Amino acid sequence: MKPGYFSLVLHAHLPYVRHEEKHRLEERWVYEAISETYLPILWQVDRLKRPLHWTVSISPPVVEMLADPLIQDRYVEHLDDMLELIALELSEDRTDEETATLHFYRQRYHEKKNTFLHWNKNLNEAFRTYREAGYIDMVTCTATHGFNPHLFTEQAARAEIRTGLNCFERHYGFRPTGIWLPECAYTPGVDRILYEEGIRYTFVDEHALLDADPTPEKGIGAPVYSPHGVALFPRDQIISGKIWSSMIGYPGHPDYREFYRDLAYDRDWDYIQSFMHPEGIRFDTGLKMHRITGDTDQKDFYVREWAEHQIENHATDFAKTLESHLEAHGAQTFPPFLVTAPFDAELFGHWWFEGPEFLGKVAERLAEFGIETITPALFLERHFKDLQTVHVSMNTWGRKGYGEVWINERNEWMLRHLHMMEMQLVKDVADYRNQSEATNRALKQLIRHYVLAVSSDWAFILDGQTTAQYAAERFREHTRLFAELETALYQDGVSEQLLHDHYAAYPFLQDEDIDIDSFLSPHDYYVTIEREKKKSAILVLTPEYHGHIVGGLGRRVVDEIEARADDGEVVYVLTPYHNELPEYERQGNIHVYRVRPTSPFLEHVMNQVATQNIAYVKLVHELSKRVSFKVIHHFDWMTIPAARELAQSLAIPLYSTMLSFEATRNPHGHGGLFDAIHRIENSVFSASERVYVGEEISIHDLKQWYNVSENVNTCLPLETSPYGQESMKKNVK
Amino acid sequence: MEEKIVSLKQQGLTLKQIAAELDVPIGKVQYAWRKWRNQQQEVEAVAPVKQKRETKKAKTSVTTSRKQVASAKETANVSTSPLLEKGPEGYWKLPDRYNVDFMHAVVQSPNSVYVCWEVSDLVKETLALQFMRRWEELPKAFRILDVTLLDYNSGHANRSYTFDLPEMTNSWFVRPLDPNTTYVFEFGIRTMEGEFLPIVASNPLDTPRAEPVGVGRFAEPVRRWQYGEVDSPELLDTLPKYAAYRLVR
Repeated sequence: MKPGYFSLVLHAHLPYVRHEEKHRLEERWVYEAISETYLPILWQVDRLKRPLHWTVSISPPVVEMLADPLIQDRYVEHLDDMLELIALELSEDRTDEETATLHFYRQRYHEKKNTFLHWNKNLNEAFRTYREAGYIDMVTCTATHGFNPHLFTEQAARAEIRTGLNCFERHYGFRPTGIWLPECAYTPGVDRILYEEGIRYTFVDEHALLDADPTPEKGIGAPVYSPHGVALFPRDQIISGKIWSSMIGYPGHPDYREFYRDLAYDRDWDYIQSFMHPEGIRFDTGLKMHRITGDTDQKDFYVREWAEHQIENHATDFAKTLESHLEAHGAQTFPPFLVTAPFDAELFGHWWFEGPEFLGKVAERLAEFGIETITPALFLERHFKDLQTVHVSMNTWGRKGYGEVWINERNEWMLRHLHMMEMQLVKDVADYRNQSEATNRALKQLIRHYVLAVSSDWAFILDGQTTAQYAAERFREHTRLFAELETALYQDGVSEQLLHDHYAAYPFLQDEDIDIDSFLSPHDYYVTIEREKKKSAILVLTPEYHGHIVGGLGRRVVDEIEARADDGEVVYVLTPYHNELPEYERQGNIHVYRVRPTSPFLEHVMNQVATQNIAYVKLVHELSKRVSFKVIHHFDWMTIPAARELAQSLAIPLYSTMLSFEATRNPHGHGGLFDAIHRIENSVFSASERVYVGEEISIHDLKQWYNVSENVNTCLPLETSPYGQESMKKNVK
Repeated sequence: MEEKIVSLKQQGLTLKQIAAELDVPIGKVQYAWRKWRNQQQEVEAVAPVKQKRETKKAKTSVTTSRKQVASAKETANVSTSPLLEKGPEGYWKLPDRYNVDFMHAVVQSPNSVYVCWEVSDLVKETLALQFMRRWEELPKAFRILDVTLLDYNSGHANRSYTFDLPEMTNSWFVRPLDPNTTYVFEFGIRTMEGEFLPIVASNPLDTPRAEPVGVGRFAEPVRRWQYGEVDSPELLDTLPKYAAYRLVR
């Protein structure tokens, strides 16, 4: 054996395109992948019958579709149609070259059918058998190929990862330690989740390592560890390019089959019609009769023997290239030089028709040349001690290497809805988890709708604008189903029939694959389960509370709140954050939230006050989902905007305590700030049930400056509740 | 009194007119009408009517009661999914907006970031009451903060850039940015004084590196974390855990 290793990784993925109704064009994507890629790759594994050390990644949508009896049966029908078309073609007067190719196809389609039926129509059985025989290694992908860097929450990323692993394990009987990150998209933090979910390695593009910090000593000649300890295997672009590039690589050779010229477009409609879509849509049959020929539109017929000859040539050339590449880096030790070549599996066979045979031949040549092919799993077993730990920034293997394909002007409209679904799932799981068997199933179905919507394929297709309408419709459909089921959950309308209907629309994943708790946050668990349930409470907004007592206001607030607490009322006090005091404090019935303004260091008073008020309403918006407030009481002018808005939106009465007024503090005041404060103060007289003013303030004098009406009183004695008994009682829920 | 208010409202008087007619504070009128509507809603057990705030006439601080009913119902946890919205023909449509406060920034490239956000009615109305101007009249702006190696919450930034946004904007492709830089993005308003007032902010986000850095600013934090010298990594995590009740203690 020569020093150094080669690692081949094939990633099989399609979006979940199973539809109950017949003749959906998208379902043909599955037939094409089975016919042109999965079966031909399996043939090579079967032919060589030895440990190849290839790693095959197969995504959960592909696993599920391969296991689906509906798709299995339709695929057999599809093969029969193809055999019928080939027979018809052979009965026509075709050229010798065409006839030879048609004979080749006839034999090939018979073999496809035989192999497919041999594995009981379920190719998962084939991959599993070869994996268990040790011929190939296998990993999987996240549940629906969601684009990790653009997710909003950790929970969504975890659900995608965990669900994908669960699904794969159900079909394949083991849990892989490696995973294919959709689009090889790495983002800081995803490695933490991967590690926690038992994943030890994944794949990235080479610039992930070349631009890592610090720059790895071995460049792309060895994997690195991410900060959380997941090994990242880099794609070697030069070696990979030999294979995938139609410009500089092998697939563009003139003797190989031409992808863009299909028999369907070379025949009269009347002739081909019965093999086409019933609505009169012409589509590729998969019978491509021409070879690439060259940079010309005049394509010559395909000659299978010539193509086979090139496969041999290219396999040898590849082995030689790899050999000299490894020799050039032969001095590298700890670990030895590794070339990782990850590909979309569908490149082989579907795009490059001869690809699977090429891979088989390469395996033979590499063995002859003494080049060791290794799986990432085995590489780590041998060399786990020799890898450097570095920081890797966000990157993908997509166009230009980052996120451009998955977020641009054509697909950005989807993102906020996905974020909303994530937020809702976290909330719904916190609110409804384990309430009943039905709600748990509904939560799982909501997660199913979400993962189907978050598939990176929709953004990818919208970027390419190929079948954009389908992608947009699928996204909308999953979002709509999510909205409808969630509404049923909220309105106690989840029934067996409803759950069945939602599942039947896209029967992807079993309920056992989906773990509701992947969306649970420990904090929400505390809030919804452990935090004590309280009777309805008084909400107080005050610019001062404890530790910040400057004058009369601070004293009055403290005394009044304590008096109410002594009466047995629960009081929530919201007051500005203060450096030396805790953000939250509980004193018996009194909950004190010291709230940070949404932005520190604003220059102008009114703006500082505004950021404090925004922070109050955001907090109360959340609090009010867990605590029922019966009355809101604010102190001083600064809290008026938040208090008024909250009283309105919560539909609870507002009470005001104003120990002083801008006009009484500053009788000769004028200018912008004076006017603004005055206007805000003036607004409480119409908005509040009662306005209590300081004892030293003359209500009569106040009328000079403010629209005072009869709801103004001097502050009541502390022992008297300032809240009208009527409204208090009526609002107790 | 309450019956009188409801009766006048049903005759088509505005809340303001009723307040004048009965010589009571408008808050009391509002409250009575709201409560009556709430009770009606509960009796009928109908789903709350969603109302687009953009189309609402907001002459004064007196808002219509339908929205209040919706909010009140929401707190009672009898609600519809925020993703459930019907178009004019009665079919489901993707909502134009969500009544929440959030901002999220995602990487498009080392030089560009996509940012989307939402601002809740609650915050919009609070600002309207604060500045005594309708939300639609408050000038909107966007701020880019370079907080590389700084704590955003300290209020410091290496540099910042603020630009005005058209009304009704809820997303932006921010470019050009620098690679390998930590940014925070903020959406807010420009106040009378011309000061930028942030309303929602993104989490800090690192733009990707676009070239080899040798030993850069991450090398030392990575080493400290690797060798257990710190309890948690001093590195940004783009997938933080989200809690629905993160502010509730």
